[in-house]
Amino acid sequence: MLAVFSKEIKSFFNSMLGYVFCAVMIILIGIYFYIYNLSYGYPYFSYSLLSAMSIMMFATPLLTMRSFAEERKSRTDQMLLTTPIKMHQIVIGKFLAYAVIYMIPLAVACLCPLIIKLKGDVSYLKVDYLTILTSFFYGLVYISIGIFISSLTESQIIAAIGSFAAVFVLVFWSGLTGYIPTTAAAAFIALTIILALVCLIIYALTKNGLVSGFIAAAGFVALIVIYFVKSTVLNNCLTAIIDKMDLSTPLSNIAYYDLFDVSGIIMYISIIFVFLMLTVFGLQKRRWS
Amino acid sequence: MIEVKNLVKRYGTHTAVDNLSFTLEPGKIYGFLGPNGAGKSTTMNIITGYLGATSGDVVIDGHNVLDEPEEAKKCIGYLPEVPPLYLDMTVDEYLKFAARLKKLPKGEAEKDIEEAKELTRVKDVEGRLIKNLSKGYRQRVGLAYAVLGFPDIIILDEPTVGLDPKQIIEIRDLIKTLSRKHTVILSSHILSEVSAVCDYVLIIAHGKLVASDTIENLYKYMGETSELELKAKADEGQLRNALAEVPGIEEIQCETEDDFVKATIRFDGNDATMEAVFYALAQNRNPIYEMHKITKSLEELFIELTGDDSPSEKAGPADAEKPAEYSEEIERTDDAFGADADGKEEE
Repeated sequence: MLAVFSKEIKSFFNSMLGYVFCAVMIILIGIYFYIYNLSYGYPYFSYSLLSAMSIMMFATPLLTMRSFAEERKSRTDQMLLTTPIKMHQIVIGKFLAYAVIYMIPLAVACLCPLIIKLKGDVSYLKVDYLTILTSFFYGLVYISIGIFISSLTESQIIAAIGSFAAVFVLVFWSGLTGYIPTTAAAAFIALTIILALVCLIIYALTKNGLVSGFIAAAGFVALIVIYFVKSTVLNNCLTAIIDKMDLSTPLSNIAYYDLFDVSGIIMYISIIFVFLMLTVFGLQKRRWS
Repeated sequence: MIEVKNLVKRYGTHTAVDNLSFTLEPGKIYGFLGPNGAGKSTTMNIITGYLGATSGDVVIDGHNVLDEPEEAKKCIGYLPEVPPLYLDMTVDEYLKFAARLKKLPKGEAEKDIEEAKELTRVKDVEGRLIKNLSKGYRQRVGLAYAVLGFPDIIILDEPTVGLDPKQIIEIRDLIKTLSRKHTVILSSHILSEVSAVCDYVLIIAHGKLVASDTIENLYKYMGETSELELKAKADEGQLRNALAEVPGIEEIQCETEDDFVKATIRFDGNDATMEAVFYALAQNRNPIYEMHKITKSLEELFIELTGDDSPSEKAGPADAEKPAEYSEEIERTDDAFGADADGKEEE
């Protein structure tokens, strides 16, 4: 694991990519810090950081597009997969390397609240540092998604566009889902699609047509019954699911409402875990077919 | 020791490896021979645990590749078709990384790296970035990676592709040196290479094992042709007259070249017939300039075994069971080629 980790860090700073990533992040955080905090005199750094985090949309693909796509393209994955190192060690090694690189701009950002405290009349160090911590985990979620997408393809460009699209949808989730019609029929269709996706995932993981087919049939019948008996339940259900999938909630909780969302952090860690697991399984599947 | 049992790999409807079974003993050099797309690389990728097989087992030194991948992989050094090199590393960095991946003990790693570098002669480029190296050197760095830590089994997929003749000879020598302590498996579609290095040859076509035997036996089998080529100072009529009386001759084809005639004679294969040809021409005062028995080359055999009219094509998918028996039969029989040839005729 350490071997992959240090190789990954080295290769980032051998190429320009590591420097470019850090520079872009630091510049953007700096601009927001200057405008909101230094120029307007707003005492919360958390607010600037939250605005700056939208750069992760572009920065994450930069970080993760190479991870497995390049290995596969240059056939170096043959080296990783035919030596005694375990698959999860490779994936975790890479993930930790990106986490460390992502930490660099955030470490620089840690100076900003201190500057506010030093020069300002009021400062909110606790809130600011907890925001930095939350956004660290928030970024790691994107990184784990990016690694997963990169492991699906051998083209870095497809990996980059794929993770950009995924992060884009997550960043603008609440805005995008606001446009979903609120009629019962729309909720029914949306829930049917979600059910189908869940059953497809179950089938892909277990290769058991009977179980996934049964779940699909049972779920579909249940949906139809609920639709005719009490269609408002469907609406509420869909809204609940959509709200739960809004990953930026814990971040806005701390930045806007001074509310440190522990359950949100646990959700982040679970999502990271799921995507890293999916990466490991996806890579291993080729050997187990 | 490597045991491969009923290995099958399908890509959709295409069967890349079709019921392959063989056992490889330690301490020998094995040659995997087959035309492009015969399934050599796929088989090697499965043995090394890079790809999963659709069905079948690979057991390496008692460790099944699927059940105990780490143990099995520790026994193998693998150089794939394209050397898996990180271009942004120097040769030293790369080999150090490889040593860590291979989990070599810290103390020995340094020594092993030095040894591998010396063996593959990459010592003089150790500090250079791999992306700046020539193809030959890259291949050698890949080879250094494969032999690093000196695993029991070294698998090389077309190790001499892209090298110049001098380097090819060097690598062949290296392979021979390695075989003193290790089992070496190398694949190639170049016959001379296999015949120059390998003790034992496995010929694969369309994903099936069509022959497996020692080089000597292969040649023995191929030697059994009975054609004589001779060049004598005579014209066609004289030659035919002189040989008309010789018993055992079946057919003569002639080609006139200035004062000489070049004849290809099919005969019963006895040495006595050859002597009789010599005396008959000598008596007629037609001096023989050249005379030799034609041995069928490895190339011809290869084409015969791997050609489009090979059993796999003829048998078709409906006859799926037959090739399995067929390759087992080859393994059992000493005179593999006899069995194989018979099999072909039956088909």
